[in-house]
Amino acid sequence: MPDPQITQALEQLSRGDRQAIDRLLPMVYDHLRAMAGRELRRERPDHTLTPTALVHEAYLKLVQLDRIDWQGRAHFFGACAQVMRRVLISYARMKKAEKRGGGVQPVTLENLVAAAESRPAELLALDEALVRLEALSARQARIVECRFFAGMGVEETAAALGVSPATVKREWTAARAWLNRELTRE
Amino acid sequence: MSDDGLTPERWARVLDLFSAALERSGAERQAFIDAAGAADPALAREVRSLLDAHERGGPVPDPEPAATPLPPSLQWVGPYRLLRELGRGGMGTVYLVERTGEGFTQTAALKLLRADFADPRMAARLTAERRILARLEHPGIARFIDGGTTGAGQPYVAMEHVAGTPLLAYCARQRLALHDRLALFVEICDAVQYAHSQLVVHRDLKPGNILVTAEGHPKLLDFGVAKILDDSAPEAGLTHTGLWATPAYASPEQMRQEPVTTLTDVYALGVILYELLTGRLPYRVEAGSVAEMVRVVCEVIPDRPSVAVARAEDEVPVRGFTAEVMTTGSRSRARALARRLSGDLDTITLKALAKAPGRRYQSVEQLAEDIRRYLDGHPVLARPDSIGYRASKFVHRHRLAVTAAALLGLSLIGGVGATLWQASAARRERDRAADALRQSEDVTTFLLDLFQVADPRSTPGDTVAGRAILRQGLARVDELRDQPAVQASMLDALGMVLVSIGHNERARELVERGLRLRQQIFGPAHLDVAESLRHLARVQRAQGEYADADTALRQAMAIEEAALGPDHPRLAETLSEHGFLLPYLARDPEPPYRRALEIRRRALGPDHPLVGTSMGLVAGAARWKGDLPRAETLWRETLAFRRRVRGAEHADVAEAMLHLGDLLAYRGVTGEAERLFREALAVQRRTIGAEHPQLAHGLGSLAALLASRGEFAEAESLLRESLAIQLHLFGPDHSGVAGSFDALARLALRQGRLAQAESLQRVGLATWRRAVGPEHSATAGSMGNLADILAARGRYDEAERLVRDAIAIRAARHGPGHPLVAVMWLQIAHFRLAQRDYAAVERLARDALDLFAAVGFASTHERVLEANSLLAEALKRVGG
Repeated sequence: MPDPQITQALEQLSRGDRQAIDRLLPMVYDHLRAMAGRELRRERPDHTLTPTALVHEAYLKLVQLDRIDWQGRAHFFGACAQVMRRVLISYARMKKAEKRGGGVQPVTLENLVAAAESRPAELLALDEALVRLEALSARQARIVECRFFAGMGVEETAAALGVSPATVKREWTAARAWLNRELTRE
Repeated sequence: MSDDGLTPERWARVLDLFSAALERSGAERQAFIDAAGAADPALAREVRSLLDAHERGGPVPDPEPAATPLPPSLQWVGPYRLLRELGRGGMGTVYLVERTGEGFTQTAALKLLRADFADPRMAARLTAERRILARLEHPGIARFIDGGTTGAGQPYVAMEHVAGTPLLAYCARQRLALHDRLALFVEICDAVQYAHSQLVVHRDLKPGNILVTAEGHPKLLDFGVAKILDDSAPEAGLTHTGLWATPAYASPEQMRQEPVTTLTDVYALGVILYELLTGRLPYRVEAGSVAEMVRVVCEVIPDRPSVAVARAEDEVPVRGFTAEVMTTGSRSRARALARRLSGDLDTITLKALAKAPGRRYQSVEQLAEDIRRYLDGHPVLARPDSIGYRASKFVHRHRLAVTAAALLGLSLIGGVGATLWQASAARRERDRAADALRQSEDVTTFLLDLFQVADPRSTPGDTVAGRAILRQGLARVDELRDQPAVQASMLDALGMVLVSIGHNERARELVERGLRLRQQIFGPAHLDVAESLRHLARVQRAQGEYADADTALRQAMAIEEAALGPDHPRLAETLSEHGFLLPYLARDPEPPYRRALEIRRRALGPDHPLVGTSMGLVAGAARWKGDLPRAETLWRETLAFRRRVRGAEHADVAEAMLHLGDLLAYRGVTGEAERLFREALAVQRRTIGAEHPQLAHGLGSLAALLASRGEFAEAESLLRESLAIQLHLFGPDHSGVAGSFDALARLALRQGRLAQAESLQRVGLATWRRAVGPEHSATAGSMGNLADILAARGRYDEAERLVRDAIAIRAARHGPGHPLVAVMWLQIAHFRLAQRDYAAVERLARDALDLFAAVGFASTHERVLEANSLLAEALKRVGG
């Protein structure tokens, strides 16, 4: 059921209260981790769950839709992106502990969760790279979270982070090149 | 790693160079990097390595390689140059664009649709639709200009750029009243209906798609755009609808992906109407899954708007546009609004929101028509027509009055606290009292305005409708039990209407009920109580209960003076009312009239029309006392003043002319008097109409003047005109009608047509008895008139008995020492003189003169002169 506090925090964000993100994140985290956990535990041979679907589902469940405009939605997705990263990485960490080893394969958006299951090492590598990127530019780490972990478009990402789409586009391109170089470096 | 030691600053330089290099290609890019790397080879190496990684790709994919909503390089969309971004939505981004052609520059709003909405069929769709859309020419619809796809295959739609405020924001900002919201809604309906007539369905009507211009007219955006999207990407279906558009305005058939028709727009208009009326959506589309949203839209029956509003205070506001905006937050106001919504507006809204298209209004036109009917007070179509319903509709305006009164009246309870009345004469308290007074007067004025239709004087010839409304008011006033302050105001207002049409007993009952209620609510010393007392006094005066009226007015004045100070115009009003009363009590009305005049001059300014009113009252007081020269001077001053501040063509000017004319006619200056009478009548006919009770004065005065010159035919035709007006306006049982019979009888008497005079006067007397009751002072006066005629026919005993009965009535009403009683002694003196009982004549004349002197009548008073001449006659006969 919708969480009025989440909705309220989103409204505050939309009104320019940047600190509302600090209140928003823990709430979204609790909900989203529970939801993702349920999805991940579910036995599904054709694991079709995508981060985008998960975030959308969370959005529908947690937010009072009739009170939130498009910008509020973007903020929510932005928050979800950060949370998704943490959820998936901790999941991957768990899986890696189980599997010990396993080949490194490219991560793709469509099977991110599956990747967390089957190729946790690569996801963890990505996470480590992201930590380093964050040291260079926190904003670019956020952009990658939105684009990669939450499957958001340039415009949505721009709205979520309060920057121009041109900036998102430019920094995403560079950050992605940087990450890909780091991840494929032998 | 090569990026060991990479700092944020250096990374920023890398990124700049990388981005700049990306904009170049081939040899140019290599040359660019070489140039940059000349000074910093490591930087160049880093950028080249990143460019390699960019080309090669890797585990981190680009989620939308083809989606480039607006690369910085894209300055043009089709023929349009982008000026700036106007807004964004789930469907895409809207830009302000400019198109320059030969000799013209056109600005427009261009909606660039999300690339991932693109579909090969969309371009074809756009081409097919845009010709239809371009045909939509309506002031309420943002004109469709163009549609197409960018070179990259991104669809766009260009339409008229509207500078306006979104519907709900506009309503909230302007604090639009219910009526204005409905009027705006009707305009919206008209635009939609027009589009339907052109076979275009909107499909995505919502408040955000409706802008209101600075002039207050709605403009609908995005007509037909949703259809292009839907038809082009059917498989995108509900997922997109659910995620990218607010499903709150979607119809059940849309949610079920069933065919969309004009009735879909009817439904969306129903949602909008609901939101306009209540400040909230008909249902919360809040649950998680798409299936749940479908269920809510298709199954949840919304609360009636009146119910939604009534419990609004318990709920979280919706979209920042809350019921609060309409109701200013108070529980009572919410209830008052609920009352206005319950009934027709509930019915209309829910009919538009019927889940099954077949049960909705079958066209937007029908919906708009019902709103119009509601606004006009006609029966709405949304409910089965029954006689009872139509009858209640007949007085719909009155129902609005009650509800609106509820709104106003409840604000009184909040605004006029009991604490007000602990008020000393402190200035601040006085100001607050004055504020409260304004509110209270607003209510009464408002109510009286609404009821003026029930007052035949203000709507001649419409008494049937007027009285029907009055009946409804009387029937409904008891329904206001839970709002005693409002009920009291209604009782008071209804009482005033009733007394104006001569229903004094019923009026008294209502005004007294209102008074008691106000005393209970506000305590004994509240301004509203004072108002009730003033009105009670008016009824009591009409009933001839002058002593009681005097008591009530004194109480009212004491309350007002304590609350408002000695200089408030409201006090001037009550003082004037007291002035009207005093002559009935044989007391001089001039002091209160003078005081009222001074208050009005000070408080309202020397040239205020009410100053002119008070001047006339002072002049009338001089006339009453018989100080005829001073009265004439004062009336001339009053006439000049009124001409100056009112202009020549005003009923007030005519009134002053008539009084001045009366004085002159009495002095025998009949030429000027006649001119004044005729001019006054002409002004009245032009200003208040040819059929107005105020015409009776001029008609009667002119008739009397003409009769005194022996011009009986014209005199009689004037009096018959007056009678006809009164009969038409008031029916046969009215004092105006009675007065007309009196005048006709006098005329017949003067002509010596004694039998005719007697029968006319008997009709007049019977009318007086019916109109004001058998024990009324005016009835007594009519008895005196009949006595005169009987005496003229030689029936002195009968005449004297009649006069003595009349004296008994007046003595009971006014006290035995009243001039109105003494006037009747003079009548008997006349009879006795004719019968040669000179001792009686002397006694009666002397008594009358003593009484007139005690009251303060001047030596020039006509009754004083009459008594003196009777006395002289008696003494002469006795002496002779």
